[in-house]
Amino acid sequence: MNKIISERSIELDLLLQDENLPRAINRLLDFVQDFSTNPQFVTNALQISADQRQLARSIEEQSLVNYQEIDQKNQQIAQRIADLKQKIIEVYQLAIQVHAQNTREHETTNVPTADAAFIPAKGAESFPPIMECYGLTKMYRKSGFTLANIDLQLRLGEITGVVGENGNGKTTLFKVITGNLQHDSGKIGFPLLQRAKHANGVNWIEVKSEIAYVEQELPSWYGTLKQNIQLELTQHGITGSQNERDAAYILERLGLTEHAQKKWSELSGGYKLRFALAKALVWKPKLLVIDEPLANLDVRSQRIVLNDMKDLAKSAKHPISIIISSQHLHEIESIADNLVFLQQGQMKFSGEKEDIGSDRQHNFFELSCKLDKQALDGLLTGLPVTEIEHNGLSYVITGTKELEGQKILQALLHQNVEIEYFRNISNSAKRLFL
Amino acid sequence: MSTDIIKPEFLKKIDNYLLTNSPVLWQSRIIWVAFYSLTLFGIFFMFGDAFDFEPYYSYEYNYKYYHGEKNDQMIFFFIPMFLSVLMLCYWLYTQFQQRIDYSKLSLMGFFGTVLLNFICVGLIFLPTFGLTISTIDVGRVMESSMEGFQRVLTFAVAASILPFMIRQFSLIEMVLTVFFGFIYCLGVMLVLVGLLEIRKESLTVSFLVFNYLVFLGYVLVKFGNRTYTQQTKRLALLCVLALPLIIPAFVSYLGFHGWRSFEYSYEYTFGFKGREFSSLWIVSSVVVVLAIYGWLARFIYRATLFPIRRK
Repeated sequence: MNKIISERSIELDLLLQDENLPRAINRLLDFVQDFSTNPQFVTNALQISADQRQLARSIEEQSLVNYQEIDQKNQQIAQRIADLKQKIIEVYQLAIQVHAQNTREHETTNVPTADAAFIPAKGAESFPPIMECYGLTKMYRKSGFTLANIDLQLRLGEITGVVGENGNGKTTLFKVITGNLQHDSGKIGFPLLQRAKHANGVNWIEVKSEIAYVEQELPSWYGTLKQNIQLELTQHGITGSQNERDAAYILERLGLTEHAQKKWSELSGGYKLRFALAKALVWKPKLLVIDEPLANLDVRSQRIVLNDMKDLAKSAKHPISIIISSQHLHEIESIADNLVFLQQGQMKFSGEKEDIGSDRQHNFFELSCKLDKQALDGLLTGLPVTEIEHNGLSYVITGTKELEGQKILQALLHQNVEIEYFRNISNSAKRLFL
Repeated sequence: MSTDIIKPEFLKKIDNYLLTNSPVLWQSRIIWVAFYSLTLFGIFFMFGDAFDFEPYYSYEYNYKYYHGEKNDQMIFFFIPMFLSVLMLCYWLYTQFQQRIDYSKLSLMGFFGTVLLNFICVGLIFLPTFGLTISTIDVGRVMESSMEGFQRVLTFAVAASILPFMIRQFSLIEMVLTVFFGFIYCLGVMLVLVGLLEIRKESLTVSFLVFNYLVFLGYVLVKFGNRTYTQQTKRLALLCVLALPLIIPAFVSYLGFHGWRSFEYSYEYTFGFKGREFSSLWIVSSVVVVLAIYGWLARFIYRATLFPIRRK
């Protein structure tokens, strides 16, 4: 069996084992989208999702209190998920076998050419970058701010996080990438989006039709949420029953079905963002640019939105390149493959997130506890600590590369110090802000 | 109150069909505009029959005397026309509320969409038209009302191109652009008339038209080179809004009367010579003007898909 479908099948099984039904259903919806072209399977998956939502509401409203009954219903849903997944795999395998017979090649990793929609994504590295820019510079003469020498490559299936303090050029960079702002010098290209060369460099009319840009300030809209999703689909050539099905899918996938008939003024900030995401993702763009999406979200909504973005970027059939900016470093790091750090318009770091701090001379730790600086200093005597600083919220402990987190924790726990928060930030983008 | 009468089920179904099959038609709201306009037209037309009065005939002086004809024009033309203009503003607001991607439209698609928008604009004025023709009896009052219709419709032609570009501005930005554009034009005229002691009206108009053409040329060059700024976009909005002052006049004038003066062209186009809604006006507005507008809409729209310069 194809490696990707196999991995995704195991992931679903594990979620069912953990009884994490909401997440399992989300991944089932992704599974159907990636490995099936059968509309009936999509309808079945949407039905399971709707039933699970109904069950969750009944439990929340306490109209269903019998534990055994709840457990039984949960098991039924889990079984339906497993059955549907199995059916999809069977059809997929059958398609592979038919293809192997037709082409007389028995490499089961190949996918039937007759059913092009089945073709899973190749490895990201086998594609040219979706966007590349070199030495990109934009200067604002009035304010004197300059975004300078940006070198960046974005690839399908990868998430790139852009971090930096306010006013350091994140939005300017996004506006240049999305063709909303003219840069002064440097080169920008979209090898995967632009088929033919254009006299003025980038043919933005062609390129923009594959880019979705979710701005920090979301524009208002007219009509209901569902109407807007459908309009977006129609504008991208998806009409008729396919339009209805795709709209229902994205609404269910992003948890918006219950709000489908609501208008702009009736939605909270979190749902407005999810709507903007749904609108951006429903037509399957190649590049999603999203500016500060987490700014107005509560912790739970942040987690949901980030998980959704990660799942959708890594889609097997329609992988997306996502570039996202945020001040929430920890959250961005948890989903990003690559990070870009901007400081005063200069790109201080750009690369895989694992490479942050690879050439460091020191280790850095964040600690929050009730001790004052002098007492903390005293407790850490003997460890290779070079500096302790309080940044207003927590202590930042700097030490040589020999300084380990376990040793700091051991020293503090030995003295019964109550630790509120501790994190090794040596390989985190957070150290770039120090 | 049930909304079924205001929003009948069959129209909702058609609306939903258009939404999932033809975004441009859906966006124009043509089915709603047509439904309300034709219904109101029918009601107003019949209203005229029911409430209108015949002139009082004086046998003594062998004279037809019309009561309150001035009031007739105010009630059955000016006020409904004002309401229609407000309706037009609301229609434009509905266009402003939704961003539609026109980038995949061909040139013919742009012509078609401009024509579609023009039909919507025309339909918006239809109820007032029905009320006016059914209620006003006096020939000269009717004639001046029809002149008014032709003037308003000529200016309103610009509304058929606006849906392509209004989403690129904020509401306040548009109001300020129109306001300062008006102030600028007034200023130019006063300076010309005052300093140069120009007494001939057509010469003043010539200066304004020349000034306009310079602006239009500047906008076209900037958009053509893709070196526009937000300020250029505002100037483009002003040019589009003022375009009906230039294009219908000259199309009509050049095609029929020969080149003599600006004054003549305006007079003939707006029907001051008693030829309101002439076939020439209709042809020039609908075919030539809308074709020029369609091309201009496509040119500006596609140019604005390229990055803007900001200093």
